[in-house]
Amino acid sequence: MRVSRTWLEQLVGEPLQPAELAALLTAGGLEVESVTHVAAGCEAEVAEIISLTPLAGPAPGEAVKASPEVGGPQRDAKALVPGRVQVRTAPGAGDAPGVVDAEPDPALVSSSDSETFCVIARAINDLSVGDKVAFVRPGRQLKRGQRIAARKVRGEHSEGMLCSAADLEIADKPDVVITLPGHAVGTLVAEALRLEDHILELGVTPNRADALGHWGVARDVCALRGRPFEMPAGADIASDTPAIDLKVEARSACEGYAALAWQGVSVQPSPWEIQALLTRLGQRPVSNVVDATNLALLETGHPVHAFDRARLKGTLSVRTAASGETIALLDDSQHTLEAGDLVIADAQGPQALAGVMGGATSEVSAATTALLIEAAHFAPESVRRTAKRLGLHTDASHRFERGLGSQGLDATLAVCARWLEHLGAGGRSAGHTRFAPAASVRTITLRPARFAAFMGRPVAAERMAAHLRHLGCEVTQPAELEGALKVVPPDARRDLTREVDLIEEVARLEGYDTFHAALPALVGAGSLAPMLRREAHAAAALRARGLGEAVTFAFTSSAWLKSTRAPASTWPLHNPLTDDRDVLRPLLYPSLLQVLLDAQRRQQPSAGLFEIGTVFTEAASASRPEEQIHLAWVLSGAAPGWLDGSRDVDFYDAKAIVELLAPAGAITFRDAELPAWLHPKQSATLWASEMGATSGQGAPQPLGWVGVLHPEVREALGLRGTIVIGEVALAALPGVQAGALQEPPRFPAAERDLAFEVPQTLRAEALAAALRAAGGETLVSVTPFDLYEDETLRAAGCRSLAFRCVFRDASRTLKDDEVTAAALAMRLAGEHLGARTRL
Amino acid sequence: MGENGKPQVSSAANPAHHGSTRLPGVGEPSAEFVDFEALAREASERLAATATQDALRFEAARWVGGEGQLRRLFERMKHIAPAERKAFGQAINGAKQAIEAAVLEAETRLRRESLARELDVAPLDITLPGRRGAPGTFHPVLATGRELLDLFRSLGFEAVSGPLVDTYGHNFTSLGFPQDHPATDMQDSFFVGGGGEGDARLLLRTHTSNVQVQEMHRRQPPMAVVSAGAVFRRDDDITHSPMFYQLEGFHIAEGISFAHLRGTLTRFVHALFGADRAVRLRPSYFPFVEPGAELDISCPFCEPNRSCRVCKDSGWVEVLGCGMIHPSVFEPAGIDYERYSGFAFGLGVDRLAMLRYGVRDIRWLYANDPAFLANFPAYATGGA
Repeated sequence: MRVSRTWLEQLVGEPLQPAELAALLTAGGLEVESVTHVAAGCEAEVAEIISLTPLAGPAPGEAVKASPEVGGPQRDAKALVPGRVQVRTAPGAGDAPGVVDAEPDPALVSSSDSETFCVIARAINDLSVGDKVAFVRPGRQLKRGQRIAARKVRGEHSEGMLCSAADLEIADKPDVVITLPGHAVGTLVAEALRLEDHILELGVTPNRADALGHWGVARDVCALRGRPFEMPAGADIASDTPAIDLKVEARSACEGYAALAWQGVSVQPSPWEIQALLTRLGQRPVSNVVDATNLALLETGHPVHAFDRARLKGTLSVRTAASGETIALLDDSQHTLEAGDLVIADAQGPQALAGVMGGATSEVSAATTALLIEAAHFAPESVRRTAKRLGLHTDASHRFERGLGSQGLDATLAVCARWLEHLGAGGRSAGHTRFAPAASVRTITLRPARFAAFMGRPVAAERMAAHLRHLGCEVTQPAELEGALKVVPPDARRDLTREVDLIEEVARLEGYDTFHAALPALVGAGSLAPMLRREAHAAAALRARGLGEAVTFAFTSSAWLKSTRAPASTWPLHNPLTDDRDVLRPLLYPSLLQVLLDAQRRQQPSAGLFEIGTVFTEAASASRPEEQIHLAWVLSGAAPGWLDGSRDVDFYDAKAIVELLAPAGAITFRDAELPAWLHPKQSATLWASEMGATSGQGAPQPLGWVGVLHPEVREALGLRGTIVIGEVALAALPGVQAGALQEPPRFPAAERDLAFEVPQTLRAEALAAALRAAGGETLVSVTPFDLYEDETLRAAGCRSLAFRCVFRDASRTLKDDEVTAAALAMRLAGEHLGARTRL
Repeated sequence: MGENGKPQVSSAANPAHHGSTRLPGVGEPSAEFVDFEALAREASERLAATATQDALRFEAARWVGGEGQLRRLFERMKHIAPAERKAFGQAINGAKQAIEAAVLEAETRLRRESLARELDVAPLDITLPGRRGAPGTFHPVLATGRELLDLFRSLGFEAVSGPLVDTYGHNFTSLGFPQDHPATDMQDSFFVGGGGEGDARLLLRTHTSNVQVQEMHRRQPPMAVVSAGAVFRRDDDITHSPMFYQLEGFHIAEGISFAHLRGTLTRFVHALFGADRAVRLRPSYFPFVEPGAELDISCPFCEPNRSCRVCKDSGWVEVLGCGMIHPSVFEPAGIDYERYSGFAFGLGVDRLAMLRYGVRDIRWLYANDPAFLANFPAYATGGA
């Protein structure tokens, strides 16, 4: 919300420096997001027109060009008459501008001593000799950083610029040169229109409905400076006659309704300085009547609506709409209402959507002479429901949704009446009607001891009472409360309902930074949940292996899942932002393939990425998703490393990742139950070697899978090169079992290498298992160390596979012939399986 | 000396040699003298000429080995007259010592030559890259999250995780958000299929504060818990990603006050941004805390006489939201608000990561572009 510094100054009654004011408000809880100096550097001055000469207009069909003199594109070139305007300024007025930022360039100030200037204006339609206009002479600034130069316009020499309301940023009217009757020639425009101001943009939190007007902000300023705020008076609105026949039916949604009849108004534009004020506060100036209601809103924070009294028929009722009723609103929109929408209706039907927007039927127009002005309370939930459903977020709904009071309605009407008078709308009170049941009184007890314990520092009861009174609370200290304060908050502070609310108010007025810091006693051991530890270790291992840690969204697109052959998600989003993120992901790999595709499109073909993230599957109960932490990885393009020749990544690169995550032998790789997105001959599923380690009911489930992306999927997705992927359920992977410690050996090991020609049908692991079984007690390990294939071998259906076998005894050094004998037994075991020894 | 470097015994027995010892024998050439000095000299010369360890071993064996020349000469001792035996033995030993010394010297020489050869090679082109390839990379958001967890763990907080899909009740109602209150506008939610009506509706959590609800229902105070993870809101622009990362912490015990909030968070700021950072708390609003506050730190990026893009010249950077836990959060969990009190805080891990690494667009964080991730090599940091 925007507030004006000068307006606050009037309300607070003392000068407010912009930076100081901003710091004060922010420290008090009304965060100042920005401070804008209005009219900064504006050197426009009041000048009088001494002659006017129309120039030939653009020939028919001539391209219409934007005029730099008036700014903004021409909207209706045919209606505009360009002309030469001679203006007179006061002698010497140009010598002492109030807000010169820098010395003007002497070359530009061709006629700075002169009192008359000749300007070529884009439109002189509404100008007459003798009019006072806003003029910027050559070499001066329209605003900071926008210096006006003498230049050629339409082939004519033009000295300076006549300003429109849009140029001065006081109204959205680019084509009309502003006139300033009644101001002396030579006066600075910023002074004449009271433009010298600062606008503070406040980030008002949803609990502070009271701070959505200048009164509320001024009250905070006063309270933060340790004194009460006095509301300025409005006009006299008292009347013995009722304003209208009023019936409040929906009493649960309307705690109060005040109506003022105001007769004899003359609807016309507000003075420029008022339009300027409204514009910089973010309101569009409309007419003096509408502007008066908006100014009452900006001042009090309470919305005010004016009906054209003559358009209202019969009794005015506050009621809920019947389903199917319709209303045309001020913004020309049409809406069909639902039962429960709160409306202000007369005999003809709904005339306003309560707390949201007025209706078009009873809209104030140029012909309006009598008003019915409304200030009311509407329930937040009701306003919010209707505004949200119809997509209408208005200044009024914004405030009602946050909870306004019902006891200050007459004061708001009086302020509106004061603005009507001030803006020259005329008229007088012709009736006043009020529905105002007494609001329930909330009484809160505030214990100074509780405050001290809660905030870590005491504040004297008297001091607390003073703070709360400055905010409008009634505070007493009855004897029976034993030192505690009895506090009745003002009606408009609906957010103050319990003791801690008052503690916060006192604390913020004291200043949060006046409370000291202390460290509490430790209550925890600083532990890390086991799964988080596991995630961290896995991530560190994969990073060390040269992979990049990726983070993708938990949602993905159902279409993408289909293209990647992933199972369909069972968890759709009801309100996705876009169609390509419409479901929760059931697996991680599709997201990584998307990342890979993006990388390939940017010509980054080699990638090694992994993600540890949540996937969402159907739970047994299915009332909500089962969330599991998965780890997925994707490798593509050339394998890392270059000295040993270049090669593409393959299955074994992907499998190597699994070996970083679980103890050797704890996971068995099978070519059964391969997922559809993997190459049928170059992929594996992962299973716990010991059943029961990850026990569950029913058939055992694979822990994950690893392999080459199916070529058809690769083609369908538009991916290039060899791509290997893997994914595991991290929690299901076998962990390190605490077991007997392997002591460091005291005696040397002996090694033997065994090389075989192995039939393609014999798996390495089967052969190694046979070798292990035959190696005797001193065999420590059997590890493949060489794989060789050539044409001859392939033709024979074979490959060459060599194992390094390590022997050791814990109690002595092994003899050569013992090891030779053991190796021989192993060789025979291998040959028994069909492997042939290579010598 | 043989052309092939092999010893020639004949030349070892040169009768004309000066200093030779007369060798009497039966059935032998009538009188043979062995010139031991010449023998030793020749052996030394041949040993000194060896070029490899193998050649040295071979040569040494010829002279002083089990079958070498000296051994064979020694075996003739029994044929020598007792009176001359002593002199003969001394001569042999003298030669043996001289030859062994020559062997040792040759060995030393060869080792030195070998090392010199090993060092005297063409220099490698040490500008070529290492064999394995580029290091892995850490993700700036996850790394920052891990680091923050470690930091709060050092203050005794237990690190846990919470569900990403939760009920409307746990995400909003149990945290004091009134139904249909404008406060929920700040956190526009993604609703998920399944679930029930009202509080039973399922949504992607909009903040990590649901972990508070989870833990308060799981155990009784005292407790100090911290949790980091993904959260989701329906926003997507240069400063908002529909998924982003938060960290939530809270401490509930008897006697916890606003001072403890300030103390704990000041310690956190000083650990992360340096002990010279000023900390400012200013009133703000979150439905689940009261008093509520935003914590600002004095801008770590400002430079003298230059406009600061990060703090927009305000001198302060917003770091987190915090406050004393609201009674409406304690009550549904059955925690006595008169007996216990607690503070809670929540911060945007992305935002901290962006501040730290100078990331201008939040969407870069979740695009996973390899070139972008290469900014964060695994060795730089990344947490345990």
